[in-house]
Amino acid sequence: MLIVTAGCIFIIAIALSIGASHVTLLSAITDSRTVVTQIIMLRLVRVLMAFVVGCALAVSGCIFQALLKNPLAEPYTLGVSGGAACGASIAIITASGAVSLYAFVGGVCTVIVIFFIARAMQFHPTAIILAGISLGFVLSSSVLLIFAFAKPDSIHKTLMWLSGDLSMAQYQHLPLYAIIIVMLTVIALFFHRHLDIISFGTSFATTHGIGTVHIAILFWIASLATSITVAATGIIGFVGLIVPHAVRSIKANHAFLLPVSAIAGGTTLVIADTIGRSIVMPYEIPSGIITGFFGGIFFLILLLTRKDNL
Amino acid sequence: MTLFECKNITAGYRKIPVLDIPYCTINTGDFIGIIGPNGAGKSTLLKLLARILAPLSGTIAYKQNDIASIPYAVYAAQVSSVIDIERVLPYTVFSFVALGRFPHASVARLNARDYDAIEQAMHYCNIAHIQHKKLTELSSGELQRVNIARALAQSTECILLDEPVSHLDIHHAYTIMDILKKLNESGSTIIAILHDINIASEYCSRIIGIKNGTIFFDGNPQECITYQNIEALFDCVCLVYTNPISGRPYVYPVPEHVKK
Repeated sequence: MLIVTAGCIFIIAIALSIGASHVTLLSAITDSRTVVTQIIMLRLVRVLMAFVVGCALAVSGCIFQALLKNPLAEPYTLGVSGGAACGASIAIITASGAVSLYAFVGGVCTVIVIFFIARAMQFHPTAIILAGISLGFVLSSSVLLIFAFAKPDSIHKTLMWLSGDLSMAQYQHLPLYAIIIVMLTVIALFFHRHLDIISFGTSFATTHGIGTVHIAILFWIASLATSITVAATGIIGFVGLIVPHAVRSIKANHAFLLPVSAIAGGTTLVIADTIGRSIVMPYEIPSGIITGFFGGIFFLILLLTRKDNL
Repeated sequence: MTLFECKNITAGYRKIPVLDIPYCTINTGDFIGIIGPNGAGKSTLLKLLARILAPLSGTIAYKQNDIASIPYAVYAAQVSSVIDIERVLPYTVFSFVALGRFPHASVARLNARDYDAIEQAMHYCNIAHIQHKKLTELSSGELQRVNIARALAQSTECILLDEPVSHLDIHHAYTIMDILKKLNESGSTIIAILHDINIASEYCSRIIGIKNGTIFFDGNPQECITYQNIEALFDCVCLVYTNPISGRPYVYPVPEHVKK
């Protein structure tokens, strides 16, 4: 835990020192020019946003993998990304401005639909996953349908948003996002023993006294966390899948898994964003592309080197 | 004292009833072996008692209270279940057994009483020496003992078990049955689905035979395990003798090729 936290602080310091202008954290301390401080502050806000979003995705991934009893579950399994993409495309193409709000509403609407389907199915994991995937297909087809009627430049803008672009994030909302995500993470931590039990199976949970109320609460925590991230930065794949996975190979108990995944998820996204904005300066690659690319390779290595295939 | 009282129960899946029990009671201190052919409804009955499944009609009372009205958390402190775990996750044996304390611990941290119960349960099932191993590293005999220890840590008066000794060798099967017997002698009510009639006969105080979704016979092993009953229950040919060591009935199935 301490090692992870220390590593995370170190990486944030490095992230703050890398960027299009040659200003490092060290020079910010020695150099009293305001412009240097401003650059660092700009980067700090972005790094913090990446951290908060990565943290939420990892926590949400942890919860979904336990609830759905599936190591392949991730924050977007239930179609939140599709709903958000739909909302965002409508916002960008109609040029109504409030992309975050539309994405959030799109995501939450999808969650509400899935929640009622899930409840009707007594939260049966496989049924929920299938329902989520079906709904996801409907929504992503809708996005393509919207594209068919849109202007090319707005399609490009939407595509960048869909690939998880932190440069498009609205940073004035950072404190709000951060507060909500920290709150949701803390609430999730209170349920760490519930998650332990739920991950062993539905019958196992029932015979330990966990009814559907607790499952519903956890479902909403994870879904809200995901919806907030899509509102903040768009769709960033893979962090919510690989981070809980990698951490679980160290220790599976949620008292360990949740907080460590949160920090590791935040750090992963900070690294991805730093790579994305520095690898081909002054251009930027959306973090979603970086997490997908390097995350995929990392995941393959992890699978090949691991003894148990869980 | 009556622990469970089932009245006019039907139960099944997708609204199709597979089990129909007009009346049945289970008393405190019983050691019940449920036997019967595959698909007869044994597991369905156990699921009803464990509240994994709700009956389609009828009521089950636990100590005169309808179980549907008892909160799950309260019920879990009274009745525990040993059912094959759906997923074997890389938890340590200790942390898995500790999950059994969940219905008793309102706070996230285990207290001294929880630790006592966990230590005792592990000692009882002879798994204390493997408590730091991960579940994924265990043999099936060890895993079954760990699963039973987890239910013991739940400190309930009644334990339900679905085929606790199937696919175990005789040494491990008897070890587990001995543990259940010890528990029963210390006051726990045990209800177990057993596939081995002879094991059921040796250990149980009461045998319930289930066939085609209803109770076929019910009573102590000496009066229930007769060749007439067993042949009718399983549609097979068998002989029943008395085990000279325990005095309990012992069933010898007769294979097709030796029937002359």
